[in-house]
Amino acid sequence: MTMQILHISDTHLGSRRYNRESREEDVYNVFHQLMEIAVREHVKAVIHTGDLFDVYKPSNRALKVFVDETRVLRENGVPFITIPGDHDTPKVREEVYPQRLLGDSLGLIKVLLGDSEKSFYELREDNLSVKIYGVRNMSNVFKERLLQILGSLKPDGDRNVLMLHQGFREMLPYDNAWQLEIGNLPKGFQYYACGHVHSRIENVLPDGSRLVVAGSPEIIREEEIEPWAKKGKGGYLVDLSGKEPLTQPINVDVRPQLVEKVRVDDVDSEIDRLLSKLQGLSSKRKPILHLILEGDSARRAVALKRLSRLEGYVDFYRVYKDETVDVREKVSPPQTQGSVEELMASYLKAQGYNEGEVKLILEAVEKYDSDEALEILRKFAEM
Amino acid sequence: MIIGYVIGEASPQEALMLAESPVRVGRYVILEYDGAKVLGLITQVTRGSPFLDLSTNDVKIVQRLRDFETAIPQFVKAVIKLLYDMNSGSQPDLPPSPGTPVRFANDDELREIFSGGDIVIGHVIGMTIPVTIKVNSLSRHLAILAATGSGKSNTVAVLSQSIAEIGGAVIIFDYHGEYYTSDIKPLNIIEPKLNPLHLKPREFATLLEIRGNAHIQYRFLRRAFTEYVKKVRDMIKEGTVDYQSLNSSFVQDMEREIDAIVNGEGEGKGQRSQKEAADEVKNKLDEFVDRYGNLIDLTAPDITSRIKHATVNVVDISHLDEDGMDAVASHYLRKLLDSRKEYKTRGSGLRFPVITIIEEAHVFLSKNQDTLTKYWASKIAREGRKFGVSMIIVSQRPKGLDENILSQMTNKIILRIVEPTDKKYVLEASDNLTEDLVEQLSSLGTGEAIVIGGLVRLPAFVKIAKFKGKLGGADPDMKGEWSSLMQSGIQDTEFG
Repeated sequence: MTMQILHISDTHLGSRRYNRESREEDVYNVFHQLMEIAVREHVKAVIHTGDLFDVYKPSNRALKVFVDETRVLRENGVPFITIPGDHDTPKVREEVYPQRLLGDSLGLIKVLLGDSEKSFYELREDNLSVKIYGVRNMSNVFKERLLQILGSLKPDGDRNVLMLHQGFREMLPYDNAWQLEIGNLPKGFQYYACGHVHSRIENVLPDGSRLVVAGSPEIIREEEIEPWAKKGKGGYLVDLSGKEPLTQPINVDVRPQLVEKVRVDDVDSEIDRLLSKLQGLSSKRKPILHLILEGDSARRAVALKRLSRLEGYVDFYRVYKDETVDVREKVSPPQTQGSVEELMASYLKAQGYNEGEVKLILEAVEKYDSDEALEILRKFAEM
Repeated sequence: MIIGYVIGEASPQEALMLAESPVRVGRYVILEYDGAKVLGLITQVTRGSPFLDLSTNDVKIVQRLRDFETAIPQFVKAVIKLLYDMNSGSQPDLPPSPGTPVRFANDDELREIFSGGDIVIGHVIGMTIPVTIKVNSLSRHLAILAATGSGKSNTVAVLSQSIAEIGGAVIIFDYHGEYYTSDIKPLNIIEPKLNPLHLKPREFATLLEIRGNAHIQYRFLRRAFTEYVKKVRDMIKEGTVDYQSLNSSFVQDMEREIDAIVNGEGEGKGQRSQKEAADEVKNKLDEFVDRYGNLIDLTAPDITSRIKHATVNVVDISHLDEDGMDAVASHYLRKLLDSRKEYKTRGSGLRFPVITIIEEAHVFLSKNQDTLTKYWASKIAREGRKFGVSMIIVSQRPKGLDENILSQMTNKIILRIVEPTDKKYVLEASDNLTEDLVEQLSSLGTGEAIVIGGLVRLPAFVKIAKFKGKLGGADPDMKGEWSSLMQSGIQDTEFG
């Protein structure tokens, strides 16, 4: 027998982008497909790494979809194990995670928090013990607490899985976007199941273990369109029978989405081009078009009217970005070449500073945190 | 109880006492005169007899004198350094009048002076008065200086443990592996790793020993390194990364980048020299991997996310060679300073102030040799105070220390030092140390120290507390190990 589990994440049930009914249904649709995969592949468990619902107070409809769709798992004795993500986390103190209702009260799912009494769930198959650990999403304020909890985990199964819903510095290297670095992960786990980032990530860590971010199974934000086109969306089948886990991405059928540039000056031929492109799509489902308008802003109003020709061929289209410009207004295009320093220098010169002043300002910026900064400013004031 | 009286000519700084009975150097005394209550320190004691002065040259006279029933008449004279007027809270401004009685300072008076700080590091030599230090003044750094075997490691352990207990974060670069096996609690052991993604090209070049004047080599390395880092970052962005194979193929990948650059530039006229420089860089990469190969880890987190507050963090560098130690220590110091700057300016870096401890400082902060660590340590010595990064340097060879750095260490805990040039060097590099204090350094016992600087109100003679628990620094039991080997040898033959 193989010890195979399905890793999914960031399902955002109840999400209703652009306030469209079809979008909400699409999110439920891919969840349905994932449950079908779980049954078809005879997985021993479904692990979900957070952001089960789009908000911490999901609509009754989203709750019903979840309960109904996961019934097939319960009938087959497949546990659904999850951790709360940031979207599932209540924003007021007295509230509780929706997972508490589904898990603690109704017993439909198994919830891991990391700092509660139960730190893992064990799966057993032919004397192989697989322990699934998980820590709920913790915000930046609790960085140290998170590290402390991670350090306290004692993975002692034959195979150990850790579920997390955090930003990793390697993937989100921006201020306040990350709480963990890969090197902070506790050792002893063969599979690190992660959520939070919506596009798929598969890493092999120095000790041979795997870190996989399952991603969201539907396209929630526009920036997910490009990765989806390259790698698809869905979940991961993880085979934990051997010492090294085997991971296999498994895709669901997602409604196609495209980001397209449209020159408003020549809108009709642009629409023809789009329509022929849409015909080439393999999916039976009507796509969503995100349009970036370019060209003379005076032609925009006409173009917007003409775009209604797309109706019927698409689920819907929307203006994603308006980059049209008024050609009669004189603007010098911003410089795009050169180092940051050169850009600052040319900007300052354009503002009327002379060579010497520019040099001092740049020096002050460069040494803003050293002892010399004050001295430079004083010099500048004297000029 | 009066122990003596002032005689001779006194100054506001110093007085001579004729004592009733012998007194010990280092004891604190009180002189009350002209409305002042002055705390003094006995810095020198002499004992003699008018009957047996230097002109005595017949030993029989001495023997006969000893046979008398009464003792030989004698006197005890002591030099008292006048430290502090406890009534005005300042330096005494008047000399004591001749005949001023002198008594030992009592416990309450000494407590007032020495027990006003935050953490206890020991007690006044010969008394039970605890000596406490003001932790905040550690922001002006500290040097712990001593001869070997006079209790440096114990001092570091006591100090770090106490700082951790009040919530502080201490980072020790453990040169000898003394601390990571110790009983200090809580202890956070940090494995030294370098992550190329966090290194600057310049730092990496120095690790490879590419000198500042090797422009062509540096340019190759810089381009190759930047390109390599960019490729890894792209991979991370793409989402599929095999860190295991990346770690092991680091040098091959770098060499491939260098080859690509050489081949790309192929047509130029300096082709041969280009090729030679590229080969030289590759050689250095190979040597680098032989030396530090196991330090490279692309998943190593930033040091700043690995240190904990209310904890003694120990970076175990003991198994590295000195270059490796230098590389790790300098990189970590830079990261700590940068991260604290980031916190002060943008609020996103390291959230708490840290105290770094550099052991064997004469190696890393040498007077004669430029090391990577020296550059960053001197930056911390100058700027660290503003950002909450302080430094404690520990050395048994003070004269080998860089004098600029040593002079920035406003606070000093000086244990026993005998070597005259060491004493002279320390004196010259400290503006708050006086010659008469330095004179006392040779007479200190193990674990006894002079503490000066903002840590204490007055220079204090302290018996440093003994660290409770195991510390790795003690000398090995050679005889014991040999004899246990012999015994096992005997057993072997018996059973053989």
